[in-house]
Amino acid sequence: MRPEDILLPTPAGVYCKIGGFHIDPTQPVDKAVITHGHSDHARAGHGAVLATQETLDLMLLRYGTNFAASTQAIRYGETVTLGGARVTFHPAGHVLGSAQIAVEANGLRVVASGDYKNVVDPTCVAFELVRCDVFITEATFGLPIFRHGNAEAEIAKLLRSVALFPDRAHLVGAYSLGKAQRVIALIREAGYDQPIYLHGAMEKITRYYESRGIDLGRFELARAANKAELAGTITLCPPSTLKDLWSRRFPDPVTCFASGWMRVRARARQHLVELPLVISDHADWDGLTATIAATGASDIWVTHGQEEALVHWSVTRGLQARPLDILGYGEEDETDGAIQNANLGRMS
Amino acid sequence: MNRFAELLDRLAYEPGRNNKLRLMTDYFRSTPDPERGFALAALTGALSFQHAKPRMIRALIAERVDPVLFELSYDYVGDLSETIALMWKPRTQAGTSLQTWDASPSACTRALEVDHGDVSQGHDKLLLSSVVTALSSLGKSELPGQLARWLDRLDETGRWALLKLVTGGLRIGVSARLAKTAAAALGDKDPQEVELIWPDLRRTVRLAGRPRPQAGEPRCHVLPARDARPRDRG
Repeated sequence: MRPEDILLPTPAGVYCKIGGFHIDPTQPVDKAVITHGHSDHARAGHGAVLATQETLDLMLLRYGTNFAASTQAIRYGETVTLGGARVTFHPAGHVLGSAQIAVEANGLRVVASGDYKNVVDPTCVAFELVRCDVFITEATFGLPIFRHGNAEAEIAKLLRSVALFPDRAHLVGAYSLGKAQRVIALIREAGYDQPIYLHGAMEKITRYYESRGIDLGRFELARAANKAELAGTITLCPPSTLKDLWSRRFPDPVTCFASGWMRVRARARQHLVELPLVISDHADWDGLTATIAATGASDIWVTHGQEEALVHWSVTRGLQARPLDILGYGEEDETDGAIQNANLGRMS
Repeated sequence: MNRFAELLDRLAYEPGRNNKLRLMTDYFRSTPDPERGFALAALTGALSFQHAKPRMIRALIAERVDPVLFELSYDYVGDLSETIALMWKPRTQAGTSLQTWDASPSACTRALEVDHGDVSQGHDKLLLSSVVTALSSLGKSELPGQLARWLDRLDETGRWALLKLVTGGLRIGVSARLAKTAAAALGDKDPQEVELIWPDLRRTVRLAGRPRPQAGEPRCHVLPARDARPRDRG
């Protein structure tokens, strides 16, 4: 049996013919198996959806009750049989509820990792290494210029800036699912105990994280505070709102952005960022290459991001590797931005 | 070097004049002599040493990385110094945490944290003052080896700042006048601090080529004349 008989790359996502399902399809399909709740991977309009309870809950929060015809929740480590394939979910360490999906048939195991990171995150279950024959990896930060370093040091930089500019507000752009809650948790771990302010578009997801037992301390909505009160405070907001009209309610804001992209100066300047914070929920170059090597897979399929460099690296290590040209992934900031703008209309 | 690099990094992104002043004044206030004197000299463009050429730093990175990965990275970043700063893999930690992967994620993270700890200790040891002093006396053939050893001891921001410094031109949007204003602003808060910084400040003015030192006047102790020559164009 060839790997393609288990999972076949198509422009709409990888398709398992013997199981009759797609993984993270970018177009509506009958049966979808979903790795995590980000909008480029979890889309509304499928027939049946199999995902972790957290991912299903997050889809419900974002898309409303009719996001799929039927849903089935699965736990980490649990296996279900779909047609001729055995499907097992393993933690991916990316955001709350994120999973890698192992698909097995005839003794061959293919792992679709979705998005993943192999560093500690207080807001989600840690990445689990799954040995496999074929490993499907993301490549969001698949260039050796991306080494995310220590997130705690970036938070320390933010807190020093807050202390240095007590008359200014610090606005931290962060994706509203996962990154925002991780940044809040890291700020709390650093000992900051003042209330943290939130953009309205982040409230529902942040409250959901709290309901799953993740302690984020006290937070308030920025829209309930007046301009003077916001001096010397930290506010988290979707990246797309950093420079829009909404940000004018803050006194001389310091524009911060928590993202792996902030490693590259041109990217930070494009976003008019004054304080870039290199904090990412994706594996960096070292994380990607270490994980690829550790899976033991001899065949590497590379998707969404800088495929070329990671394919080249894999080939130089004697592995078979190829890019999957799946359209529509890795645009989390753009797609998230669009969703947040849509939410903004409803919520504020 | 670490704190100076962080200052340059903040200044490069900060558009507001008053906020730039606040960043520099805070740095001068919290940094001891002679380090802050050298920082002021660097910010005012008063340092002069033989600069490294792009071809030399390119040769340094070519020894360490796969050429295909370098080209892809350079193409993405668009700036040579920045690409090298980001791609540079310190030799001391190469392979320690990555090739000997322990399957448990916590073990992997522990290894990474140990690396970061080592690196940050590294920058505490490497001072801007020792870098500048060494740069002024190094021969052309010694420069690449020394530069590589420094790059091994710094993190991304430190490497970026070092490469900006040695290739000439910080380009962070700070004029000499603004940097001096920031140093002088120390006086508004605590006159004692101005006294502390004054010898460095005076030395900087000399280096900029305006009041020439008179015969018999004490020479600068920190920067011997051969280490930092006045710029001809003033």
